Amino acid sequence: MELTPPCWVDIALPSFARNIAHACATLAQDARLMVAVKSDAYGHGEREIAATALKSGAHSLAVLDIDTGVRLRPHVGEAMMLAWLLSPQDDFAAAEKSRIDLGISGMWQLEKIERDVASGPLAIHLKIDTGLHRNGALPADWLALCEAAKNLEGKGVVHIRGIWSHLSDTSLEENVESLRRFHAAVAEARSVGVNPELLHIAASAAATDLPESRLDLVRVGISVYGVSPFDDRSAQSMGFHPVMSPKAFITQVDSEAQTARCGMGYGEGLLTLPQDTGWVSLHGTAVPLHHVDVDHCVLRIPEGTVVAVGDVVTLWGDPDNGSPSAEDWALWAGTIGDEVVSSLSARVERRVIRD
Amino acid sequence: MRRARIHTQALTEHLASLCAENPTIDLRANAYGVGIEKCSQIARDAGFIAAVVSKDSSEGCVLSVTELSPTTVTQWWDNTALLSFEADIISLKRVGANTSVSYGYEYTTTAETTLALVGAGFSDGVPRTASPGAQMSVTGEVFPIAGRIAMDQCVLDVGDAALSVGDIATIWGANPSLVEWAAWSSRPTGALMSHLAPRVERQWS
Repeated sequence: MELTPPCWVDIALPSFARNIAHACATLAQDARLMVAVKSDAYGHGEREIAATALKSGAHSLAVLDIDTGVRLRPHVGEAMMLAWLLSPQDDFAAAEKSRIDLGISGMWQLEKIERDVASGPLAIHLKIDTGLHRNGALPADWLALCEAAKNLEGKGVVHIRGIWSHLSDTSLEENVESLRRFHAAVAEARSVGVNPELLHIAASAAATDLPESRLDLVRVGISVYGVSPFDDRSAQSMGFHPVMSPKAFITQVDSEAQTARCGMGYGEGLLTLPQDTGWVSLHGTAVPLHHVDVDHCVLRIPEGTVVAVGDVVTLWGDPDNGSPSAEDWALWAGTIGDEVVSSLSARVERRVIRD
Repeated sequence: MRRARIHTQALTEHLASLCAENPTIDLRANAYGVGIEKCSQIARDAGFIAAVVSKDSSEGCVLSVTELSPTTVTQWWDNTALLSFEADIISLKRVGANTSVSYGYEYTTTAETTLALVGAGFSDGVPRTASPGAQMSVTGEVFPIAGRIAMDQCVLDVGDAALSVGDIATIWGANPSLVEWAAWSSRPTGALMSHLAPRVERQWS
């Protein structure tokens, strides 16, 4: 029996499309929806996911870096794309050419835009740090950044399309405080003539629990991939359905030892687990995981379960079909679902399911 | 910018020393993220005659393919001289004491300090479970990661070090080592190597 490839990943596009429509209706409501497609759309395959998001009601795409935006532009029409992880080595002229909006946190980025941009205006979103302390300008540096951006807008080099920030999602109280700082920063920007069309700060978690954080645009990531951003609520309970489901053939059975191997391991991007942690689904039957190795997992065959070479196991997927969820795998590996799905190797074939 | 610099001469010498005992090498998982084509060429030049490969990453392998055996040379990547995983510093911030950092505010500064944002995170291959505890080095000095490692970035607390935007942070390589990262993250070195994302550019020197 030819068991090649030994594993693959099913991507259920209709579930993703439904999640986008659900996010528009429940998370964004009157606001626009921006969908994060960074990190190869959280391991789901950026091209199909980006196009499907826009067809299903999303307004724009969060692409993280200029390279991702450049790759996606031919497939997404004129949809707005925002890149904000900017390195001094990046080619800002490429952003202009592919009409990618840049999230601006510091003066060096404005100076580089002025040097690199050929004709302009390049659309930018000024970023204020409201407490997360990653990128975003500190409040002490904010006014100077706004004034410099306004000056460049006057010269036709940039168009200040937005003001934005990232929340820490530490607690509702911390998010409320960050939102207050955000509004103060917006008022300060307006006082020097900055007049943005789009204010945005909320991602999945805040849009759910703090409706006043939705503003003009809500950025969603993990939720629309059907994985919960919360520890205490499942994605299903919020109305989102899993999109990704990695599958592997049973490649060996050892009836004496009551073990079997399936053809996917950490070399294919599975996160390693402590010995004898977790399980996979064999046609809805739970089969305990013994060990995650480089190119296979060792499974312990339960008493009374018949396993044959060529059977297909589901590593995670839709709990309604008896599979573990990506959140389950995250719990076993001591991490979050985002890392579980985005770690899957690009070498593993994605099989897009369209209906 | 994220890159994995692979030091060809060090790799060749290291493999030659291992090959003296056994002529078969474990190159599964696309040569543990190094790249099967070049790595198999170097292994051949070092004296290996056969390789164990993953079914979906054998293309380009110049060695004859064989099955795993007890004499197969494994864990050859556990050597600090072979590969440096690096990313650049994209922002520096001077902040006061009691400043909380990253999702969940799990790290809080104890004194005035500088926070350096590194443009690599868990989807690039920086294991999320390594923080708290993990470190990176910049211009030879080692600094702790402040707070949670995010999908595509993380923060270093660099104290009063005089760094610049564009400086290169060594995630693992000479110091700290891949083996230290394995301890911090509770993941095997082979898994850390295989999880280096394709967008981490492989540079051969």
